[in-house]
Amino acid sequence: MADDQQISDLIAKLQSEGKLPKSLGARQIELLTRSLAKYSSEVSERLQEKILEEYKSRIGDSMSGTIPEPNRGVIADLTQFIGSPEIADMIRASLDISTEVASGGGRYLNQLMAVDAYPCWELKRMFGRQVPRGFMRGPKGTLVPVPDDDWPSRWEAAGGEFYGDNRMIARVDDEVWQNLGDGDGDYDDALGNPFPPFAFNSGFMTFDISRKEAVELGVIDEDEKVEAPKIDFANFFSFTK
Amino acid sequence: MNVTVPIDTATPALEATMKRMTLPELQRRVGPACRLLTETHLAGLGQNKDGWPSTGFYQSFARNVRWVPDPTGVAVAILPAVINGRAVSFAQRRFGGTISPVTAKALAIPISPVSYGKVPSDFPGLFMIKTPKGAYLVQSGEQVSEKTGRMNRPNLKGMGGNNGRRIRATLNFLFKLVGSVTQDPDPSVLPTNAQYSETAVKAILN
Repeated sequence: MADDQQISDLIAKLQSEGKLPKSLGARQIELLTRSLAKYSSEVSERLQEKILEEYKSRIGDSMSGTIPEPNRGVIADLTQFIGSPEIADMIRASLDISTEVASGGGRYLNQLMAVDAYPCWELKRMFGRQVPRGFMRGPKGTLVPVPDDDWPSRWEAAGGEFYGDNRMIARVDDEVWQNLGDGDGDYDDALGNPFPPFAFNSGFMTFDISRKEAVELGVIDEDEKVEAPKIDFANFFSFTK
Repeated sequence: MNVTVPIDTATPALEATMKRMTLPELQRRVGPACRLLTETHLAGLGQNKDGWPSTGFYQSFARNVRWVPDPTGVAVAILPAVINGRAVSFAQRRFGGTISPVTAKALAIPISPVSYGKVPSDFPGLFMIKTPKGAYLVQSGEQVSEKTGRMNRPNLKGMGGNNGRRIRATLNFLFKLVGSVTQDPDPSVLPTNAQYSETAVKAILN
C-alpha cells in the first residue's frame, strides 16, 4: 500500500502534467489524498486476494493429483517470494500425503477386484521407518516407546481381532478398516479412509489373505461369502464418512 | 510399465486344479499375489548406492502397483509415480535409456547429500560456475546461517544438510549440469520371472 508522501507526490505529478487542476485547495488535496489512499488500499487488498486466489487455485490443481508438474513451481514460488520455507515444506508434506492417499485409493479398488479369492486383509508393515509408530526419538538416537500408539493398540481400539501369532486380520468388509481411518481410540493423525495409509507417514499396508488361509486361521468359515463393500465415489476421499 | 505373467505353465498336478477354474477365477487368484510380490520387492529396495538419505523412490512405485487381467493370464502394471512434483516412469529404471532435458537447457544432477532428492529451485540463490570438468550450480558458504542452516540473505532461504561443512566451505557444489544422462538397465528392480511363476503356482494351489 502506498504511504501519504507517495500519494502527495503522485498528486503533485498529476497536477504538473495537467491531469489534475493546479488550483486545488489544501482541504481538497487532503480529501483527494484520503480518497486515493483508500482506493490504493482496496487495490492492494484486491491484488493480494487475486495473488492468494491464484496460489490457492494452483495448489488445488496440484493436490488434485492430476497435474503433478505445477507442484514444483508453486513450491519454488512460495519459497522464493513469500520467503517461508516452512510453509513450502508444509505444502510439500500435504502434497505427499494427498499423493499417497490417492495411490492408496487406487490400490484399494484394485484389491476389491478379487474379494472372492482374497476375502480378508492383514494389516502389516511394508515400508520401513526410522521411527516406527509407537516410538519417539529419544536421547542419542534411541527409540522411546509411546504407550498405546503402535498399530496393534490402534487395531484393538478400532475393534480388530488378532489371529494366529497376533496377526491383525479382518474380512475385507469389516468395519475395522474404516475405524482405523477414522482414528478410533482418539488418534488424531488418521487420514479418514478405509485403506492405507491409515495415518500420516504410515508404513503399514493391507496384505491380501487367501480364502484358504483365512479359513485355516478361523477368520471366516469355509462357505462364508464376503462381498466387496459398496463404494461411495462422491465421498471416496473424505475425513467425514 | 507392465509385467505379463502367463498362466500356461501347468504341471500335471496344477492342471487338475486349473481345469476346475475359469480364466477369470485364475486371474483373481494370481493377480493380487503377483501384485503383492512386486510391492514387497520394491519396498525392499530402499537404500541408494551412495548411502545418502533415501528419497522413498521405490516406495513411491510400490504404492502404484496394480494387477489387470490379460488374455493369457495377468499383467502387473507399475504406474508412474509423482516424485518431487514430477511424474516419473518406472520403465526408465528397469530398461535404462537416455534422459534429455525437456523444458530446460540442461539436466541438474545432484552431487551432494544436501541436494539429493531435490531440485535447483529448492535452493534460491544458486549460481553457476564453469570449470574444465563441467558446469555446476553452487551455493556460497557465507550465505548459510550458522543458527538455522537457511540462507542469510533476505527473501532467500536455503535447505538443511550438514550446516557446519556448508558454512566452512567457500562454495558448496550441489548440482552438475549435463546435456543428458544414460542409465543402464537394471533387471534387479523387479522380481525374477521364476519368482513370478512360483508365486502364480502357489496362488492357484491356495
